[in-house]
Amino acid sequence: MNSFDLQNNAAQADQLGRRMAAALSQSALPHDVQARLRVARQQAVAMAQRAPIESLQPVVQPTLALGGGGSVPERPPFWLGLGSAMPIAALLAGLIFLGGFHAQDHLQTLSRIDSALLTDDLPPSAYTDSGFLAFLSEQAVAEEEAAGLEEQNAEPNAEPAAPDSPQAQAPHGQNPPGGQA
Amino acid sequence: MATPKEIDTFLAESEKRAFRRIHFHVKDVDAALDIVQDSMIKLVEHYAGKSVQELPMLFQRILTNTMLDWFRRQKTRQALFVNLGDLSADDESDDPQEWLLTGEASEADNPFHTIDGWQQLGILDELIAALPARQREAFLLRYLEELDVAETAALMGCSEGSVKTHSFRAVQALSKQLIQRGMKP
Repeated sequence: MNSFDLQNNAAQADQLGRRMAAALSQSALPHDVQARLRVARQQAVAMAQRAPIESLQPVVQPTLALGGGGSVPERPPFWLGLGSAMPIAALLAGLIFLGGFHAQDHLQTLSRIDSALLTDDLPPSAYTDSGFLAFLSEQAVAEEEAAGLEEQNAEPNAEPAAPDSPQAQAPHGQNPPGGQA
Repeated sequence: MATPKEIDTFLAESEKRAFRRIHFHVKDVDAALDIVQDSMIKLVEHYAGKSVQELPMLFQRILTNTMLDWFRRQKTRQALFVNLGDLSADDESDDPQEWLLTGEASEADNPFHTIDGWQQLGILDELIAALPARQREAFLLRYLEELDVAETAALMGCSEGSVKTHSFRAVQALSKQLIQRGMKP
């Protein structure tokens, strides 16, 4: 038999393949490999024996014994699933509501800023002018200085504001009532 | 549901073939043993409730998946780009190296003409290991594991025609190599 015969007959190829595989199977593996395979198999089988019987049986769902019937339902009742889904649904609804509220609040803030800019006498383009920004900063400094001067001027006027104190009455030359006696 | 004794019998019958098949692919004894052991444990853990008739196909599929996982874990260039690439590619084209002849012995020099002679020399192992991965997998599943064409196609994830082509080319290449080495297939 040669390769040309094989090309003409696929059945002969199958037969030859089986002969090759049979020869392959007849050869022995090294002893250490056989021993390790045996140990691996024993471990797997021991694991199968240790597996609890309950894990191999179909799981029976717990049921309420209100009806008193002997039949065991295979699936949990609908209301039980609904009850467990309600908290999740409430949580999702709350998250959606909070997200919407936050987005609405953000939009309102933006609209307030926009309307304030548009209704102001100053055009919005003025804020992009560097000269105007410099003018605003100088004006702010001037206002701060003016406010400081007003505070300094207001301090001397604040001293006579306490007429009941003895130190305030002394410069006017008035003696205390007991002094003239 | 398979009993532990039935599982033990099944594994005892198939462990050597499984080891040979995996060893031809990974070419490492320790890795092949680890893969076979992991596959045995996975079979027991997840499919102990199946019937005995379902175990062979399940075990072969677990072996294949565990072997592919092993290839994926390898970080070496050869494992990642050669072996896994060969396994995942549906190679329908002729591979020039497939027909590369490596032996120069003549029939007169070689006294081993029988199948036993092939195995005594270890030549068959060498030739099968040198096959392209898809052809080797088809050959081992069809003839060593004795699966039919449909089962082999399901395990390899290809059509039945591809399985026939791969297995036929594997036998053809092995036959050609044996003839070139002076042996009669």
